[in-house]
Amino acid sequence: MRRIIRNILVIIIIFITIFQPVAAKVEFNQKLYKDLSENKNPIPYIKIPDYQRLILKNGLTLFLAEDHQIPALFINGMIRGGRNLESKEIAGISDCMVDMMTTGTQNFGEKDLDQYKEQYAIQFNFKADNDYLSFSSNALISEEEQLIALVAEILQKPQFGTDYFQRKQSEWEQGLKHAKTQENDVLNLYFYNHLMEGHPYSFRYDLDLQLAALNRITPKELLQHYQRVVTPNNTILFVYGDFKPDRILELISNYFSEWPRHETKPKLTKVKENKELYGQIILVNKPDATQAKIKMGYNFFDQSFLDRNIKERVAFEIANQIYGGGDFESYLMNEIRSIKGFAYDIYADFFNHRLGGAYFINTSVKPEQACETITTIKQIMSDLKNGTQKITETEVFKIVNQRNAFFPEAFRYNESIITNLIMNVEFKDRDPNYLNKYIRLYNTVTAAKAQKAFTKYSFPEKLFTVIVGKKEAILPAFQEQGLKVKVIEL
Amino acid sequence: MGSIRDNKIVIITFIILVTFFTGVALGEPSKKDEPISVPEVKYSFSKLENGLEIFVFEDLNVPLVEVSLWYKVGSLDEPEGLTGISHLLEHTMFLGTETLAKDQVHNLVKKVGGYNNASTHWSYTKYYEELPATNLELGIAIEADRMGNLKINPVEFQREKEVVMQERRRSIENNPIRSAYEEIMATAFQQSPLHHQIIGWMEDIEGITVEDINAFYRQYYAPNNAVLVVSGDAEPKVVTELAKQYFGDYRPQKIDRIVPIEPDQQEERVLTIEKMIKVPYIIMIYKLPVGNHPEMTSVEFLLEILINKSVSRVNTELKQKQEILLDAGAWVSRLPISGYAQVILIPSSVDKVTEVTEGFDLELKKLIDNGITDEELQVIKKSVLKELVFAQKDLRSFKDIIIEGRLNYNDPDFYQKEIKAINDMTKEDLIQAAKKYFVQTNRTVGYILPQTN
Repeated sequence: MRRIIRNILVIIIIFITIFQPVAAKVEFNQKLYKDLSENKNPIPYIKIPDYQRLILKNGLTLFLAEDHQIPALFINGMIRGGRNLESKEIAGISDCMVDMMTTGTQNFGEKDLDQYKEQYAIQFNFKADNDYLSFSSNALISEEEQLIALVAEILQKPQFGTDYFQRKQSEWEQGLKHAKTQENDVLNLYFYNHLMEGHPYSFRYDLDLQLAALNRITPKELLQHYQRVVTPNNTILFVYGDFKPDRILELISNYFSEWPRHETKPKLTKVKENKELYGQIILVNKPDATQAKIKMGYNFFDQSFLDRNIKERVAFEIANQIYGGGDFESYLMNEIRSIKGFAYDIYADFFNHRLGGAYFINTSVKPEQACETITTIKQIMSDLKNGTQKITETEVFKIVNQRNAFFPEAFRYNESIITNLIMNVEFKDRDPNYLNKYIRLYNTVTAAKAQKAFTKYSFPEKLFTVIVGKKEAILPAFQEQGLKVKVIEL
Repeated sequence: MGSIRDNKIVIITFIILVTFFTGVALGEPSKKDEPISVPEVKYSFSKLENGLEIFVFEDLNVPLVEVSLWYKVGSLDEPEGLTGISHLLEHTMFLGTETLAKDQVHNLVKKVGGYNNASTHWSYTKYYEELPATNLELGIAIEADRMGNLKINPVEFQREKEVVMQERRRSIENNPIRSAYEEIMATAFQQSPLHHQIIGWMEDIEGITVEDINAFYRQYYAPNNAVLVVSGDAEPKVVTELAKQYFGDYRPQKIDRIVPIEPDQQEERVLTIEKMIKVPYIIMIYKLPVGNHPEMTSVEFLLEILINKSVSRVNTELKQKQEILLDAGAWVSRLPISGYAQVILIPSSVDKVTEVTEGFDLELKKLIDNGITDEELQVIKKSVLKELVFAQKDLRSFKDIIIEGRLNYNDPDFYQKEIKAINDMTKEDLIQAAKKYFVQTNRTVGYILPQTN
């Protein structure tokens, strides 16, 4: 009997062990998560590392910062004057120019330049932006002189009349023609063309204009443009890495001090707001599209305006992140993706350059949902602007808290801190400690300030919309709602 | 987008970038023949009784941590009919648990000032939170809760399926090159799970039920099929204790994997696809062995010399000299099953397509017949060395390499072997690889041409 009872007990124990529910030791509940998610991150302070700033006799501005973490040298730079110096006749010339400058020089043919870079493992990139040209380059420190020599050669000794120029023209042409079949490029073309009509800021998106200009972009035009823009007194060089300062200064002097300065008088015009666009909807018909790509927006302020109103600007940034920052809690993502399931992503942002800016909202939905998406986006913006939807302190706190956690990470390396400083000081007339000033400012934003800024700086009535997609699938919903849409055939 | 230069970049880089190896290097740059040196990346390793592996990479430079949970399941584990289920499950993992409401994971992470996301790959699915270091336990709690207690609301699941289908439309169907690429891969691979893309076929996504997802989740989301990785300002002992606390009682599962056998390819496969584009593309897929095969590094080096470097054979001859090529690129997909190399050539016009194909084949033949030069090999080794030196700046990027080595090849220190392979590499190794793998009977060629009407 005892044996039977013992056997039964063993069986019971085995049964309990096997069929014990799988569970962690921890009990998951809301209190647990509440306790684990209490955290207020301290306000960071980004220490500006040591650096030297010098101006050579020819006006070249030089920033030097040592970094002995790895045996490498980095030379980055910016040149005042980007696409904002283009005219319609030579739209796209900035990009052509930097492409040619990095393909060959007076002393290096195309193949020679490639071989030189490969042999010394040098990387050099050059690009054009709206208000400046920028380049970055690097090499191991053992090749410091080769790197400096190459940067000097590219900047000072361009060669535009070459045997490969026609081939390059053909490549640019093919690239532009290909872009005309790509929805994002078509979207931007019609959006910026309308928003910034006739202004150089729109040229980079205006594929037709660039194609028409290609024939006028000759080696002579390229040289003239180069002479207008690429001068030492327009250029900032940032050298950092594992170098000895005396040695680097000697090399920079050897290779750059004879570069002749040349005064330039750029004629710059501000972007004009196009009020006729308010509320307009344009549909660019693309018969093979399976999506409706949408871009909504309006003209926005230039950089100096927003700097003069920096407190409001910072508050608006935070409010806009709440509205359409792209994360799941933003109002747009919550409504358009989480609730309606229309889009994979949606975000709202703005840029403010020297001569003007733009505010824009991007998304991509099924064609039949385009109308509802657009009206929803506008409605959410209106509700936030007029106060029907109130920004909460919790919403502001989360964004500020996130920034406080990640600013130290974003500026972990001296290189990024000094690059930020150069941009602020040399291009935006800000003080060297702007970064920390900015951090302090966003930490003062409250829900009321954010709401006020969004009310002041958002304009749902101005929203101009471009859609790229198949008109047969998109139009019916708009017609049902009585919304006027202008259709453009590609 | 829209600038001439950007358009070129868009043309060539529509697919994920090169999986050229990386590794850690330290110290002085090598002289010409000095072997590339690689120190070991320090990390701590522990393993629970239920099989959960724990890696901790300490980095005390900023007070942040990244908590990630890597499940050894991805697109390669999907049978036909359920393609895309790994990715759909990834989305579903944000719809809530027995405790957490839908999207509450995002809310909690954001509340402490963090970021979170997830991604699905060929051989694994990864979930991660970047958090202030003081919130390490939050990240571990979230992942443990999701591993054991996923709760799927059918209505929310259906909505999330719509989002995934939208993602597929946006990223593949609405993109002429990517949609053509999908066809080309489906032609190249018949039985292999590489037949389908990670996002899956649309009809499969539409057909996946709550029961399918639950079954897949229960089968693969088990402690013995997962690796917990913490990097940043975290102590290994603390991480292990938290892991025991949160994951310790979970039971291992029996993990069954499909073992598809791709039949040997006997002849070249060719297909032509017309799309609304202006510029033609030629995409070639060459089949390769498993990712840790000793010849794979030679294959990667070969492609650098043949195609990728600005002084490559293809660039010099077809682009600069003959002017029939706009751009070209190649890379290798290294997987725990037989992988592939992918070559993209963009002819300058439609009427140059045949010339470019023949030109490429000729350059390959010349390389095989005449060999490569010492300089060519040296250039590649030098660029590798430089990459290794530069990578020292942020060793956190190596953790992914190490974890991939563990998941794909059961070898977290696989990268060390790679460096040895580079140091030992000879010109003959590259030629052997070329002769063996870059033959026409081993390739599929897809011509993506502008529509004629």
